[in-house]
This record gives sequence, structure tokens and C-alpha cells, in this order.
Amino acid sequence: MLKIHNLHATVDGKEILKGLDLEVPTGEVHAVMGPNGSGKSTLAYVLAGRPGYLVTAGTITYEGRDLLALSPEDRARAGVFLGFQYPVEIPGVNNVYLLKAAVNAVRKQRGEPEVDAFEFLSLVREKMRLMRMDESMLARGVNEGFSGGEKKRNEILQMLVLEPHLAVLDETDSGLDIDALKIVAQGVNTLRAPERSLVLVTHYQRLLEHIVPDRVHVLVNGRIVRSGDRSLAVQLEQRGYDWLISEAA
Amino acid sequence: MKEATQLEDMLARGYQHGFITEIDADTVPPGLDEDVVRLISRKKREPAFLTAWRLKALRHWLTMREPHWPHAHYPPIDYQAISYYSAPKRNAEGPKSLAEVDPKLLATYEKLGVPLHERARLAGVAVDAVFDSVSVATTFKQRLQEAGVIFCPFSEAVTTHPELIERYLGSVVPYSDNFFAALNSAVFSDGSFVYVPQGVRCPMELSTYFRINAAKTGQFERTLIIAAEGATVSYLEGCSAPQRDENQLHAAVVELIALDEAYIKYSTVQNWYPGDEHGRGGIYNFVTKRGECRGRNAHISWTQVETGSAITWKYPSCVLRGDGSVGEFYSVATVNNRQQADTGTKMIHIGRDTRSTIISKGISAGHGQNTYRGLVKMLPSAHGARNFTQCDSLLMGGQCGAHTFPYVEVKNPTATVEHEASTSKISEDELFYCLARGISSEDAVNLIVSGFCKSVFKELPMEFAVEAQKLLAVSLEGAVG
Amino acid sequence: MSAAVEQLRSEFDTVRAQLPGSVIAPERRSRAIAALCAQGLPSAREENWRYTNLRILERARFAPVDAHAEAALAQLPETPAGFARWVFVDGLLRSGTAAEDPGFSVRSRRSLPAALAPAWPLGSDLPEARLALLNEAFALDALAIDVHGPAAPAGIELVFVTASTAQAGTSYPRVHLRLAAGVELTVIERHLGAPQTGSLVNGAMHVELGEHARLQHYRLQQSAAQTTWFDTLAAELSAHAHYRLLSIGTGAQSARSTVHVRLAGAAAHLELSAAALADRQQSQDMYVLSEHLAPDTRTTETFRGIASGRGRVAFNGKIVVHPQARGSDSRQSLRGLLDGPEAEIDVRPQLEIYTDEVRCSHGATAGKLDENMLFYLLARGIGAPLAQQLLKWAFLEDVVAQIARTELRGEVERALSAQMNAAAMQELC
Repeated sequence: MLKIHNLHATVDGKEILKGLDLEVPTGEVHAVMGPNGSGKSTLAYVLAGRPGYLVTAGTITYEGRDLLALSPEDRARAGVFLGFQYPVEIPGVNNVYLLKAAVNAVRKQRGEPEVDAFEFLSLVREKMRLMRMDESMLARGVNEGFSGGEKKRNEILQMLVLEPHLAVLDETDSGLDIDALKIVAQGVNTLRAPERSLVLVTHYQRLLEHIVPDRVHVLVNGRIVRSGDRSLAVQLEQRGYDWLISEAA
Repeated sequence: MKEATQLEDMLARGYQHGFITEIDADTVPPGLDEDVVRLISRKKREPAFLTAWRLKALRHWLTMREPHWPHAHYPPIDYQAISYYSAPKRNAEGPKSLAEVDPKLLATYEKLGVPLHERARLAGVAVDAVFDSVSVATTFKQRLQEAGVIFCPFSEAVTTHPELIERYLGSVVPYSDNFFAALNSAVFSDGSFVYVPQGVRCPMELSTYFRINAAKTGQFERTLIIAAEGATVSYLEGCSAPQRDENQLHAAVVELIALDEAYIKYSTVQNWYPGDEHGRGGIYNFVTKRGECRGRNAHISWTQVETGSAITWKYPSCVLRGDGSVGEFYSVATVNNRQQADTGTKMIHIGRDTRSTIISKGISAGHGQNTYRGLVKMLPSAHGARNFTQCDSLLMGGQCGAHTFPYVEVKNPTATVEHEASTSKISEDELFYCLARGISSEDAVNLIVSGFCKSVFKELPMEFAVEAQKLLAVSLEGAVG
Repeated sequence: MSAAVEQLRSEFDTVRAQLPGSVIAPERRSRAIAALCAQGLPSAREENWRYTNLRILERARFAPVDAHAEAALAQLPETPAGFARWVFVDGLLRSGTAAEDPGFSVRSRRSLPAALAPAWPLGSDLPEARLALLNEAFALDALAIDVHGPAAPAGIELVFVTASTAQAGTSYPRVHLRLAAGVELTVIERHLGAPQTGSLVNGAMHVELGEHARLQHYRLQQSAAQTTWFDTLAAELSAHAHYRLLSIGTGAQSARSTVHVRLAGAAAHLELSAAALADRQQSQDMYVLSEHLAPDTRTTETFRGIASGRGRVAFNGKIVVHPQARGSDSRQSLRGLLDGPEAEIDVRPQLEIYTDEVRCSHGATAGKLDENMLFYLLARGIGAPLAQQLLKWAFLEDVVAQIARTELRGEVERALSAQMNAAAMQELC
């Protein structure tokens, strides 16, 4: 599904990713963990193609294609979904409109007709129930005035509606209380499927108790320094990151 | 509040720099024509190019009309009743060292707390003192010379470095710029000149202290600061004047030029005599200050604390010509009694990726009228340029005024300008909170006001931040009662 | 400008005998022209006119258009249910009938004998409002609307159509609207024009609101592309009166609207929302002065402008809080968006405050679309052109969402999307 080889990336002239390698096979859930400032969010943004995040070396192959050659919107249409750590508030752009426009953009790409408005709405409502979101949120501006937890649930709602092939969830657990975390995890788990891959970018282990990963990678100073199964995450929870940082240095 | 009488007493104590120094002055009779300009130029033994430039300025000035757009009211100024030159009498050659300076003058500076005398100096501050119109002494010349920095009275630079004067004078503020700049260009008598050569970090803070002393004179100093490629300099000016019943005109021009990667920080603590509580006397402070970031990544920063003057009319500005250059303006302006201030800045973005920041804090008390006026202009060439402006006003008492007149003009679609402003009364909750902690109302006001001004004070060189804070406290005495 | 003033005076002398005295008394016309000649026509050198395209005044024909030109009235949108409509063509009342009811009267002053015409209130004496003097000197008709009680219709619709070119003269629409104490009314005002007609319009409107009166006033300036449109609106609010003025400017080659609101009674409230679009070489300029003259008065101002092509959008909003206006509150949010390398945005939020019992704040921004928002939309697969249009749309929403009437809001949204060439946006409606 996703192959990252020797990825170097800079932000504002500063190198953040320094030769990162990562492979996520189809159908697997991988967690990328690491201390603050290790480059986790940079990796997520580079995958989504955020302007200002400059790839200086390396390759990213997604479903056999060169991901870096695609514009952000084409990546999204090709099935890459980024769950933002800080979802952007866009007052005045209707939440449901955004969803519909996003779904139609994918359909148009595939030469499919636009989604039927009625069917679409009932689909969205169903997913909202799953995420325990109030229907009134549909009529509001994108993330406008949402609490931190509501924004994260809204991200997952978008993911459920868009049904991406590869979802990269950047710190989706941050700022969530335990109940909200369970709802979010439940939402993510419904999307686990043999044809789909997930990358969970997180600082803490607790999300991984609810979404059990196939592999865990530790990112330190712009590189993956260790990979293992989920027991690695448990180990990190107990020992912290320091021992890996000193090992890496 | 019950402290009212006590506060009134403090208010009556008033201006503390208002003494007059009795000294023989060489004063030109009032009036202005070409002969007066030639006389000034001759007295200063200026080269022909400068005399010619002054005369061009005078001729242009005669065609101009005094501007009345500032938010200020004052009786008409009779420009023929002002004396355009007043120098303390002294040896024809001027003082060669501090020992030759008139002891009365030195005593004046002592009273002002100017660190003129080397013994009494504040560590690391070089001072050029301008008394009425003439620069009387410059300290630390030696150390500066070793660093290659030129810091001297303007009139001296005219003879020692005429090529620099001819090249840079009027290149940021042309004589035709505005009414008061034209007047200054015709009659300026002295001021400071600074040249920091390529790659040099000026080893100390430079400082000028301006003092108006003689009656019925105007003060028209001219300051020119050039920071060559990669040079850095921090310059501070302080001002005061005696207490007199008539109004005195101060029309200075300051020009700053920053070349590639150069940094100029210009700080002002302005405490000209503000007039009494009935609005009698006080300085008309009509000043043109402008800096040009001529090179790439050049940086000019203006900080001002304006507490004095009957009327203040000044807009220290930045022309951001070099790509990546930065302009800053940090200002605290207070008005009390009948003071009027119309001050702010202009940020003209020309180069790519230029940035500017404007932080303005206005405090109005008594019958004072305080106006922020600022222009942020993004020209079509200013790709990616950014400005942020914050402009807050604090009102103390029901008879003062606070006015905010920003201009935002953007002609480049990649540029961004953000302006925020607020105006409100000094918070009664905050005041009460302080009182409830046993703090006197006077101290509470000072506390709140300095909190309000903090973001500007932190831009001042350390030793002057303290002075500025004290000055602010004095100027607002009696404001809350 | 002195040549223009000469022209103005001589044109006035030529037509003065034909100007109806019932609309404006002859002495008042003369006084207006004298005052205007003394002050001169507005010039770009003046602070509050510097963003206006005033060139047309140098070669204008000031005499009023006095012919009933044929206008394409068929294209008018449907009158909202319960509304009464009056239509003006080139400043002259064309349709709509006089209403005489104890609670509600609408009269064309031209049709009245001079002796019966009530005194016209004095307009604003601001230098910025002096084009209203031009209207006062030359107006051929005026609509006087007086609402005293509940007999009034749900709303009034005023439609101003231009059909003649500037060479035929200037059109001077003129309206006086008075709401008695406690009255509520909605007014929809439309400015339209026959396409390809370069008209010169110089309107004047006077609004008086009695105590506790509430006026919801929609102004849609959709003049023809070649038109030059000037307008001066003066309003006086009594205690607890509430004036909601919502203005959408998309039309005309060059438009300048001058608004002067006096919050004369305690707790009077002005709520102004304005949106303007300028593209091609259009210029949209608005000057709004709100004067707080009584305690506890409020002003809320929201402006959103988009300049594309070589268009220019300017908004100059000044708030003056006089010493007696203790407890006043004012808020301004002025934002401009640049959407073309040759476009220009000028915003000036101004505060002039003479008392300390106030809370005033303003925010102004000018710049491009928010990059974070743009990326968020791209990351959801929405293409850049659509994402940009969406965000522009959302930008205007702060104003458009204030339109309480659904059908009107839909209409405005359609007009805006047409102007922004954003057909996809219509789905949002």
C-alpha cells in the first residue's frame, strides 16, 4: 500500500525528516510513535502534500504510484486521508457541503455520477449516529465553534464517509477524554478492512489499547529507530522514549 | 476617590525638568528669509552644496501651506516671530574637550540626569547633547573611533565627512517632503550624525539628549544615521525643555538608512515641556522621522515613549524597499491636561517578503486628545509581505479623547495585513483588585498602565525602560481622582 | 474641479425654472447649489474621497434626466409576499400607487401641490455628504414614506432602474422614510439598470426612526456595468430605535455610497452589514459615519469585500463617540480579500472617542485566503478552484447570513455567485 524510502524533508529550511523508511502493507494498521518534535506531524503532512513541507530526497510509493507527484487534492481523490491533529475551522463553509463536495470529487475522478442528495444524507446521518454526533453539527460551518473532541469526531466522520484506502490519523487521540476516545476508536475500527491500511501517529500508547496495531514504529529525530509488534508500544509506555533517544544518538 | 486632593498636589508638582539655564546665547533675530539661511550656513562654515540645498528647501517651503489634517487644534504659528538659530556663546572653535564646555551647561545636564560627564556616565552609553540648536559635547569619541563608528554633531560631520552628508542627506526625507521637513531643511542647525561601517556592531548604545533653553527659539535638529551592510546600531534620544508660557516650535528631521542585513534600533523618550494644566505653554513637536531599509533583510525598529509636548505630530516610518526587510514601530503616547498627540507610523512595503509590526498604546487623561494615525501600504511588488498592527487606547476620565485612524491599502494579493484596535476605560475591576490588596490608587494606576504598556517598554534598552516607566508615572499624575 | 463647478452652476441656471417646487422649494435648491459651489465637488485629494473614482464629475451632465425612457421592467424579480412596490426609472416614479391611510402614507412629492408638500428634513452637513446637495438642487421627484401604525404593509420595495445614459443627464432618486415610534418595517431597495447603459446616478435618502422603531433595510446595488453610482444616506435614530442596514454592492462601474447615521436617542442601535465585490475595473467605495450622540448607543459594523481583476474595494468606517454618549459600545469588523495581482483593498476603521465610559473595538484585515483552510479543503480532495470559491463564499457569509428573508437571501446568493462566476456555489443556496 505505502512504501517510504529514505525520506528527507525540510520545513522553513530546517531538516525534520532525515532518511525515514516505512512500509505499510495493505490491510494492516501501523502506529508511528515518538517524542515531541521527532517529526511525526511532518510525516503526516508530507503524506498529504502540505505546501511548505519540502521533500528534498527519497521516495513515497502509494499503490504502486509516485505519491509525491500528486497534488494534495489528487492524493485525497486517490484514497489518501489525513486526519488533522488540529482540524481547521472554516466558518461559512457548511459541514455537510464539504462532505458532499469531497465525495463528489472522488466520484468525478472515477467517472461516476454525483451522489444522490437523499441517499447521501441518510448515509451521513448513519455515520453520525455511530460517532454520537448531534445532527445539528451538519448545518454548522466546518469545525466552527466545535470543541476539541467534536473536531476529532468530525475528522473520523469525514473518514467514514470518504472510505479512504490509506488513512493517516495524526494525534487523533490528543485532547480526547476517555469516552470520546472510545467512540473515535470504535469509528476507526469499523473501517479496518483487508483492502485498507491505517497509519496512527501518536505520542501515547492509550489509543493503541482501543485500536490494536499490527506494527509499531518509533520515530526519533527524523528516522524510524525501531519497529516491533504492539508490545513495543507497551514497552514505551513503561520506559518512555529516553532510552531509544540515547540509543539512536 | 478620597485621594483626590493628594493627587491634585502631585499634579501641581508637575513638570520636573522645567528650569531655565541662564547662559549667554548667540541668537539670530526672529524672522526667516534667504539671508537668515545664508547666515546659519555661514556660521556653521558649511560647504556650498549644503547652502544651496538649504536655499532650495526655503524656496520650496515658501510655496507650502502648514498642514491642518492632524487631529490637533492650536492658534496659528507666526513663523516670522521665531528665532531660527540660538547657540550658547563660546569659543569660536567650539569645545575641544569636556573641560572647555561651559560649566553651567554641564550643570544643566546634571540636573537632567544626562550621563554626559564621563565620570558620571552610565556604562557604555555615548552621549551627544544638543542644547537649543547646537551640539555641545560628544562623549566616548575615542572608543567609537576605534570601532570605526562615526558619531558626532551633525555640523562637525558636514566638515569632516561632507561626501557622506551629500550622499545621504535628504535621501529618505527630501526637503520637499512636508511643510515642517522643508522648514527644517532650510534652517536646521545641528543634530547627530552616525555612520556604522560594514559589518560593525556598534560597541555601545548611542544617545543624544536634546534640550530647548532659549526663549522664542525654535529647535530644528537633523539626525542622520547610516548603517552599512551588516552593521548594527542602537540609538536613543531624550528630550526636555524649560517651563515657559509661550509655545516653542520643535521641528526635527530624522533619517535612517539601513543597507543589506543592517539593523538600526531608534528609541525616543520624549519629555518636552507639555504646558500647564490650562494648556499654556509647551512645545509644538512637529517631527518627521523616517527610515529606509534600502538593502536585503535590513531591519529598522522605532520605539517611542511620548509623554511631553503640548502638541505632538510625528509618524516614525519605514520604507521597506529591500527584499525581506523588517520594520517595527512600538509606541506609548500619553496625554494629560490639554496635551494633544497625533502620532503613529507609516509602513510602506515595496520589497518581497517584507514584514512589519506596529504596537501602539495610547493613554488619555485630563482633557488630553490622543490620536493614532497609521498607514500600512502594500505596493504591487510586495509579494508575500505581512503586517500586524495592534493599537490599544486607555481612557482615564470623561473629558479626554482617544482616536484611531488606521489606513490599510493593499495592492498585492499575496500580502496580508491584520489590524486590531480596542479602546476602553481603565478597568475598574483591576483598580479595585489592587486597592483591595492595599495598593494606593496612584500606584494601582501606575501598575495597570505599565502592564498596558509592557509590550512596548520591553523594546527599550534596559536602563531607559526604567526611566520611561517613571516618566509615565509622572505624566499621569492626577489622572485618576 | 472649478470647471465642473462652473458647468454645474450654468446647468442649474438653465433648468431651475422647470424644477418642481413641491419636491424641493426653489430657495432650498438655490441654497444647495450655492453651498456646493462654495465647497466644490468632491476631489480625490480629500481624505474621505481618495478611494473614489470621481473622474466622471469632471465631464458630467448635471441636469436631471427628464424623459420617461423605456426600461426593461419585465426582468424585475417578483415582489415578496405582502410587500408593496414602487418603481423609479431614472429617478422618476414610474409605478406604484400613492397610499393614504391614517397609519401609512406614500406620496410622490412631484404630484402634490407645492403648498401641501411637508418640509423636507435637513440633510447631513458633512462635507462627505455634499453630493446630497446636488440631489437636493436637481431632484425631479421624491418619495415620501410615512409610517405611523399597523396599517402598513409587511414591507416596502423600492426599485430604482436606470435607462438613460450619462449624456442624457443625471438621475436623482430621492426618498424620505419616516417611522413613528414603535413601528417596525422592512424595506428592500434595489438598484438596477438596463445593460450597456452608462448612467450617472446620484441618490439621496433620508431615514428617521422614532423611539423604539425598528427598520430592516436591504440595499442591493446591482446597477448596470457601465453606471456610475453615487448615493448619500442620512439617518437619525431616536431612543431605542434599531436600524439594521444590509448593503450588497456588486453593480456599477464605480460606486460610492456615503452613510451618515446619527444615534441621537439613548440606546439607539445601528447594525450595519455590507458586502462588496469589484472585478474588471470596478470600484466599490463606502464611507460610513456613525455618530454616538446619546448614552448607551451601539454600533455594530461588518464589512466583507472582495477585489478581483483590476477592481478596487474600499470601506471607510468612522465611529465618533461624543462626550455625552456614555456607556456606548461599538464594534467594527472590516475584512478585504484580494483576488488578483492588480486588485486593491483599502480599509479604514476609524474611532474618535471623547468619553471614557465606552467599549470600542475594531479589527481590519486585508489579504489573501487563509492557507490553512485552503489546505484542509485540498486534503479532502476538493480541487483548488472550487476550494477557493468556497472560501470566498464563506468569507462573504458573515454578511449574507444576516439576511433574514430566505427568498431574498437566495436571490443575493445567486447574484453573488453569478458575479463571482461560481456556478458550483449555488448548491449552497
